[in-house]
Amino acid sequence: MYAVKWVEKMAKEHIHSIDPKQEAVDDFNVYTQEFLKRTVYTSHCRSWYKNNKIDGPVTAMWAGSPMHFKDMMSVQRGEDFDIKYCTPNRFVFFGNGTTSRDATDADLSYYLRKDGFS
Amino acid sequence: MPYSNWRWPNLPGLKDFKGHLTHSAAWDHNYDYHDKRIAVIGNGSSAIQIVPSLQPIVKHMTTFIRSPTWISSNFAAQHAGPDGKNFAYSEQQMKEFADPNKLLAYRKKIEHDFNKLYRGLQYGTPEYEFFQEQSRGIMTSRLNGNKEIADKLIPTWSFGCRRLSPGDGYLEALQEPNVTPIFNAAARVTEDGIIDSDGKEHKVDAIVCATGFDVSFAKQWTVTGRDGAVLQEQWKDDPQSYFSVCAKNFPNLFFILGPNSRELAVSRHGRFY
Repeated sequence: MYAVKWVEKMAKEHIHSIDPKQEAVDDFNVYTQEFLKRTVYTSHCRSWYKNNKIDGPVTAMWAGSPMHFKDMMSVQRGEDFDIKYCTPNRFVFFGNGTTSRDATDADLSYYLRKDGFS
Repeated sequence: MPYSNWRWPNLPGLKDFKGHLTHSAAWDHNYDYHDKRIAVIGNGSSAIQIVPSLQPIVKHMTTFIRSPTWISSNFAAQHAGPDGKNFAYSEQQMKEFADPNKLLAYRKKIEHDFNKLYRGLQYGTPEYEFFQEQSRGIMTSRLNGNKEIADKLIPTWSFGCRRLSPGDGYLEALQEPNVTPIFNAAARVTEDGIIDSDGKEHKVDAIVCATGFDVSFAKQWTVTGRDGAVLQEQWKDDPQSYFSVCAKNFPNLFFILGPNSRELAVSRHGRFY
């Protein structure tokens, strides 16, 4: 879903490419390796979790529980990426100032609800 | 980790072996192991399953065990059969599972218990102490006081450091009279056997290599990114990702099960992409 969300955003907003920033990659890896020091994977054994080495970075594991991974994967952190647009102005996707709701004369007060407003 | 790209042991003479040579990833189902003398190289998750499966039918098995390994209890064993072993669902259970709510409740319980196991993979938690001591106890008792095997096989490193396997029947198989565990390395292969690092020859009809896979995160094909960056090179020694899903210099490329993608769980990864 993570990739699909990005692809949807890219299609909608005319994004040419996203590339993770070096400083985001560095921060992620420093934090990950520091966290993993408290896990069994840094113990003195040869394993594929450490790229078949006895010592060295833990290359396989996420720095957290399954629930943690799921939470982190549910957010797209745009600030961690260099984003290039297909258009000279990033807001070309604003289009002609109307939405499909306007064009089809669909429910134009959809935000009103019994229990309030959204 | 490309399971399609398996790794043969780096043994001189392997190509000259005249008997049956196989890797766990490329099993030849036509070969009949009955009454054969065989060697099994390795004690990872594959060998741990192969040894007890073939032990009852072969004439003799020599198995090369280079490093210790933890044999664990079965995880979420309370949902499995007696002693946490594999089992078949009863007719009654299968009828109950026809109700989607009952099936969901059952699946949720198992998943919940697996998702708790991360605690035991961190030092200093009561769960970690429990796993370690429980596994030591399980191994000692299943080895029936066989001190030689226990000393060689029970690790000094932490429980979970290598991939865990419950290893149904593995420790029992190692003690069978037709099995010889060798705790030094295989040194070279001859036309009809393996010579261990003590220089002793073991004549065999077949060699089963349970020696694992190419564990690199880059694929076998060349992936070229910005400014000529090549993924295999970039990830050769220290594969670094962004959130396990992206890599610097490779815009618009997403990975499933990339570097640092396995959440702290036991052998159940890749569910949450």
